[in-house]
Amino acid sequence: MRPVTALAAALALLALGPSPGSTQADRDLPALKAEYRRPAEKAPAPEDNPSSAAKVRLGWALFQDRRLSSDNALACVDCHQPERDWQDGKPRALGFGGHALRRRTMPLYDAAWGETFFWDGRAASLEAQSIIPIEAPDEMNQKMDDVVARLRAVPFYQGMFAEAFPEAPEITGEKVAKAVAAFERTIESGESDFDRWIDGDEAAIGDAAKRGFALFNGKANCAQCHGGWRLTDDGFHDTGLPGDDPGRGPIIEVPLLEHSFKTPSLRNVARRPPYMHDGSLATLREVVDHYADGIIERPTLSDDLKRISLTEAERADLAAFLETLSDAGPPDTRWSPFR
Amino acid sequence: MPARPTRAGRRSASALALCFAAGAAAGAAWAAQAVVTQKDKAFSTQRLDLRPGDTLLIQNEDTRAHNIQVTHPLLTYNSGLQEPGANERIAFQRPGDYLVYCGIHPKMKLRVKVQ
Repeated sequence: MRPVTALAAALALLALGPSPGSTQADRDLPALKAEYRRPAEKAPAPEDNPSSAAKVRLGWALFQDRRLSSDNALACVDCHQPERDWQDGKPRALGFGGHALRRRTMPLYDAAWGETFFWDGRAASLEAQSIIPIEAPDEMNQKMDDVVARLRAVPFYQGMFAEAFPEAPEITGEKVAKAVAAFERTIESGESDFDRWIDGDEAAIGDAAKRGFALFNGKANCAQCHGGWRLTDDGFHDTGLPGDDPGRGPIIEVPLLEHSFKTPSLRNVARRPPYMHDGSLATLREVVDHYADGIIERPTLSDDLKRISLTEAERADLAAFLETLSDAGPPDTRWSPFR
Repeated sequence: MPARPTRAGRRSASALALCFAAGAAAGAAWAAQAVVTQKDKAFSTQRLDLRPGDTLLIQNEDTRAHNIQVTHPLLTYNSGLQEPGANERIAFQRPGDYLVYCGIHPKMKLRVKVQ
């Protein structure tokens, strides 16, 4: 059987299966694949912070600068390491003094398209987000006024701020935030085997991954929250992990949203273990197993979290699909004002 | 181009019409009720023009709970958990550009222009 025929058959079987809630499986395959096509447009930027090459260069310099922490020990790049796909490979991020924070370092890929930022969504823009870790006592523990004073004493920053903000070159905290945000918007995932398959190359992914895609959109119910080209709904869900982290609940003052965290994008997910907001699952297979067997029952569970049953072969197919979401590798970030 | 709501439920569409009729008969300023529904993690419209005093009725026709939020100097609103089948009413008394969004699904945005 040709792969596309096999997938169509799998989708048809899912449509006839005992889970009528799996409405995405009822659509025809071309329409379903179209929902995952990458946008042709450039990354969006807010009107009051348009991107420029000079601003991005400044943002990347600031992203690497440990002057942004009070003890000169932490830069953004220490947790968001480009060679580790902008994360750190740790279950929980290490903050000020090397102490572990309660959540995993956030993924950054395609953040330009994000709606809110942090696992609990407490920042509504990348500009707002970029200041928070700098000033958080348990992260970089620095006051923005002190950041500005330090940067003003560095000769090369005078020129870089002037190039990035020619209309008003004075170094300010707001411009630090804008430059870092402009840089973060350049962290885009690249084309993956999955994208090539979406664009019509049938040989780009294997049969197991195609079956996994059908499961992802059907019986396994993943697409309920991980649909679309970034594979996220940008929403907040309690996915039944143990722990007492209140997550989104206190941010929007809704107790039934406790234990809920932002749906992360799955772009390059196979290269970015460990998984979940608390880094508690080491492999993609463990993630799939959690959704099949590990959900803790409690009143705050997401309405979108269906109880599913998966065979051993289906779990392997889902993991195979997730492996196809990786691009060629992190971008070239060798340029640095510090080297 | 922003438009007044066109996907109102049957009952609410009648209510809106009644409001218009009463206002016209009295020859006075009238207040209307606009209706927007939620389904599949989306509002039925993304833009809405209202007049001061109008009310927005938001009907959750989705299979999941939502949370209606407005954060504006002139109006703060937090519905708490809006269960499927539940309605929320927000009165817009003063002119302004308001963003109504879902605190659980922030892609759900409704821009309300009151003038």
